[in-house]
Amino acid sequence: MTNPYQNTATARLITDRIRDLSHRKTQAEIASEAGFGNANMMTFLKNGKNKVPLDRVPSLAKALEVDPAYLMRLALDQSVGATAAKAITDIFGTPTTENESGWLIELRDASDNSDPRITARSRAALRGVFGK
Amino acid sequence: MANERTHVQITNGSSGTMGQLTDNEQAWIEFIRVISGGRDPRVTPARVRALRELLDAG
Repeated sequence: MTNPYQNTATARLITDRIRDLSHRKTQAEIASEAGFGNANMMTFLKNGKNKVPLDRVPSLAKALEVDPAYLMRLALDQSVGATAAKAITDIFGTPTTENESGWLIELRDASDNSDPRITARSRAALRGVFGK
Repeated sequence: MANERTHVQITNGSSGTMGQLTDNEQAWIEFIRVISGGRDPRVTPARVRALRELLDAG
């Protein structure tokens, strides 16, 4: 298999971010910011030839201007597979993004720290809030 | 573990881990992830208002 990580969520995210940032920085600049010696690495990540090295997640997230927790979740899935990633996150916890922490703060504040359950009605309302 | 709660650490990058959340909080966040298609939606005033209305309604 030439491109084992083709069309993974990680590869799609990287492709999208490189395109979104293209008016400000080149792919080679992103590779350099992320600490990749080989500028072709971004192409390999986009087309799924290579997976994201987990130790590069912080610098790559910064270069791509995405939340590192979000990229780590996707990269972990890509790196060890969904089952192993779930085992890891079951034990250590899933990293939450800055936006998710914002939602938790709002949820706690709005509920007076009552730790509300998510009900069927809540789910329906949230679908409306997030447009789906 | 129902009501066991610790604060969520916020940094410039990622924030905390799901291990710090209650079961109910994990359920809220996981549902937001699913319905937003993993787009990591921002907290906006309109969305916060909707959340408050939702919680006020019980």
